[in-house]
Amino acid sequence: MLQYLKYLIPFINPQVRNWTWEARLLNWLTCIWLLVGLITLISASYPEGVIEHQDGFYILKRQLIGIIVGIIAFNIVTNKPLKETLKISPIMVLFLLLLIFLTTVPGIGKTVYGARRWIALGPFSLQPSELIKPFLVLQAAYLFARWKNLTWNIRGTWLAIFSLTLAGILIQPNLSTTALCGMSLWLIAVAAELPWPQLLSVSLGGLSVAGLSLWHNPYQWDRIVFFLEPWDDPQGKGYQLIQSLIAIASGGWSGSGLGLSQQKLSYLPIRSTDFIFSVYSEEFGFIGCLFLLLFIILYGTIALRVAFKSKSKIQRLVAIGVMVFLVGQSLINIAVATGSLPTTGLPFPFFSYGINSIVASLLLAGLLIRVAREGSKGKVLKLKIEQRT
Amino acid sequence: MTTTGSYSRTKYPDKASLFTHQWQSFFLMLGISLLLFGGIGWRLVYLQLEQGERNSLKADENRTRTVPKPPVRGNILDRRGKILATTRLSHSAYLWPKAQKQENWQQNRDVLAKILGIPPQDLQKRVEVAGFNYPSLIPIASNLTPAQITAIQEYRELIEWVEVDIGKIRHYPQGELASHILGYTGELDAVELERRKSEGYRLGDVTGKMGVESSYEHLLRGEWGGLKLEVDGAGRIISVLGEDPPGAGQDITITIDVEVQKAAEKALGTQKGAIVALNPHDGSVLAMASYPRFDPNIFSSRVTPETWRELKKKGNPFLNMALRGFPPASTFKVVTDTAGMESGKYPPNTILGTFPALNVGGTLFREWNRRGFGPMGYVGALAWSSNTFHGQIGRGVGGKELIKWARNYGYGSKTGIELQGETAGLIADDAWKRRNFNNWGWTTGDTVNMSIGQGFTTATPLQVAVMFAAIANNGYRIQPHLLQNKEVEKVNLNLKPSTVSTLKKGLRAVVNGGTGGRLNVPTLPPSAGKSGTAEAPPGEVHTWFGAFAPFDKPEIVIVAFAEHSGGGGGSVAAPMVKEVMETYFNSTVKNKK
Repeated sequence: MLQYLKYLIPFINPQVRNWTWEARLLNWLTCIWLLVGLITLISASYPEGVIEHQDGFYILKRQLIGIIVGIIAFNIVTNKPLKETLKISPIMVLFLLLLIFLTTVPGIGKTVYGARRWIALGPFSLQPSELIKPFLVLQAAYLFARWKNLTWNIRGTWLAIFSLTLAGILIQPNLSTTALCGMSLWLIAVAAELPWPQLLSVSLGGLSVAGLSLWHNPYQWDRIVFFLEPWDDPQGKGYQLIQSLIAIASGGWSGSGLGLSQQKLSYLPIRSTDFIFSVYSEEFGFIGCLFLLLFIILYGTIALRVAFKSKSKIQRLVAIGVMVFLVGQSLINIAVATGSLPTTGLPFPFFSYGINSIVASLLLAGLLIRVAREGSKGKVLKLKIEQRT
Repeated sequence: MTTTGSYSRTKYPDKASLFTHQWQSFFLMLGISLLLFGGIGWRLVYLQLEQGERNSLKADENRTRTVPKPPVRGNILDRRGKILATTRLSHSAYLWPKAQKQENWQQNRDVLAKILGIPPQDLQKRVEVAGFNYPSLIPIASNLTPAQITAIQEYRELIEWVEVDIGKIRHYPQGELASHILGYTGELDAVELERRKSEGYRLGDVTGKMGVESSYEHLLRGEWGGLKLEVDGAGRIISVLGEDPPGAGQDITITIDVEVQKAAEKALGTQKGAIVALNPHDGSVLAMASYPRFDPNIFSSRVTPETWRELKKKGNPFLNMALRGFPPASTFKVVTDTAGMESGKYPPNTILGTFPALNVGGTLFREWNRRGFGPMGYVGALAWSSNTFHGQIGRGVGGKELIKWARNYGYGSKTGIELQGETAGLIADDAWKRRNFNNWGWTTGDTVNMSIGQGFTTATPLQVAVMFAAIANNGYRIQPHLLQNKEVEKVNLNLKPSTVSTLKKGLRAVVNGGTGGRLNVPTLPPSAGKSGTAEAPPGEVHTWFGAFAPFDKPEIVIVAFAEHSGGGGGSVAAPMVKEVMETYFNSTVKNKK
């Protein structure tokens, strides 16, 4: 029993000093990312909490639950050999795939903002499309790393499962997560050196599916068009983006200071999730944004370094997959908030409020750190694992 | 590149292979990252550094609301500073549409309508015009009685969206006095609001609807101020940031003299008609009375249908008779004589015979005494108002000359006084007659008719006053006006001094021994004038009298007109002129001037 308590300890772990320097650095960077995100979330969500829940810390409290669960998962993953984690990934993918389809069943799926993405679990809700991200990375890495040794039977089965997953997320509807997952899978496949003709034909297929989705859900098309000219309908479709732009822009050089965002008071919609970056940039200004971008670049660079230093292809692919999910998703979120990309509902990893999102992000970060640990100096962890099991 | 696949160790890729597939994927990701970072970085520079200040302002606008504060309308004063129109405080009811919940609107609306004593449909319309999302208060009733205020408080729970506040209403302390000049104020209606929105008018704004209130709206109105509030996204007030006090409207002083105006209205009594008094040198109007009248205070609060019916009973109380055209009758003989002398055809010393009637192409123009007065000159003909004398002059100079001089005196066009609804009267000519009478041309009969102020000719009492002023001031057409110290034009008619002096002598003779004998009293300075009695079939005759005084140094021109009064100019209108003149020259009034 006592041995499991260590999983509750965030980041500070006596074993850390035995890790590779990349793993240690990533461990601390993740910790910083999480803390900065949490501070931003407190600031962004406080007014909303006061108005809607009569408790300024309502959202923080829920997010902390997510962080506790996420840190447990993070510690398990960083301490378990990747090999073992990989073993449960097919089961997890299939299980979460089932849940994704369950969200579309009326009575089980919970509808928020016109999309069925959640399964209600008492006061909390499960968002399988978030939770599946780390397992998709694992499974894709596992599949594509061995691609050339597999029969078309197996390849086909897994490709079908991936396609079903994407389709399930798409019909929720959640185009942005579908696109993110699709692009991540594709990039993992690219890194796995799959033949270009296969890669290109898959990407063509994906694009045509995206086109079809747009054709079926005009609201997505409106979003895509309106990010270009939000001022055409400032009270309607353009409202979210305009408020976000006003928030970001009024940050100026140095920002208004922590907690002093005007826009978060209630003009800015979904300020604790999709548009949390707008609050961050209003409060910390251009300098704060520059630091955040540099931070993400640093994180991505180290993730890539881990990928290239890794000893097996599967590890490399896992690292790349995590990098794409964490860094890519952050960049897309920022791009959306700044009006550089169409408005989509992607959370900012470690910043946005969302129990599922924070658990998934911590799991992803854990996988990356695990890969880093297994980098060149494998002997230390080997020993630890022997102790534990 | 080896691809053994399974989670067994693979060799670290050797250098040669790095530039193949593995690096392609690396470059791909690098490219995507650079694109995203570059795009976002550029976007942030643009938004935060270039647009920062502008958007900061926008964010400020986002959180501030201005609650408009209406200006206080300027007062209207008479030439001696007496208040004619002012603003008074009263309890008003306002509706706050945002606070109203739709469900019980109908029923609660009826409760409110009952308390205020207005039809529910009116209330409905007002809210609909503003829209249920109107951000500020809509005034719905003013001048609330204490009972109404209590009732509103009693039904508070049902009508919590009604606010009782001290409001400002227009007040005319003199009641009906000078109502045609002052006009009245009222709220903008929906159509007008739409039209004047660009000028900054808002729903419920009070504007001048008639008279000086309307003509000098731009001076009286003032500027809206506002209370700057900090609000949150839902519009809840967080704090008051500042106040921009409204700019009060200007007070304006008009040329009316309350005492003279009172005298004029008293002299007119309940006779339908008008009295105009003006200064012959600068054209300032001292009095302009018209009957029927109305009380402009009525319009300061909501007009009830009963009040409206009551008003309508009086005929058309909004019509300013001083600005409507009527046949000027014998007062027009001044124009005929001017044409006679100025044309050179009938110099001042002309003597003509007068007859029982003048035969013009088979039509008889009768002398009013049906006998004739024997031979007479201009002075005698004016004193006795001989029709045949003036008929001959008119016939002699011809229609064109007569029309020219009529127009020179200002007949046939608006004087340009600052009041709406002025008519131009009519000085007909050949073209006009052909247009209106089936292409029949101008005849000598028309000329003769015109020469005695009958036929097609109509003139407003104000125009007649302008004509008398031109004689009083030795030949200048002045522009009548109401705003004190207004710069106005004075047109020199270039009359020969002999013409002016002959006319003056004639007009003096009218008072001294002719039809205007009523003015020949020791209590008044010597005056000069001319009567007029216009046939107005099928009704009784209209009567006129126009005069100026003192004769040597004229200070005032007074014209009285009585519609369908019967009698004669000398017996009906002249006493009215006398009454006004007495007030004017009454020492107490005059000394204060």
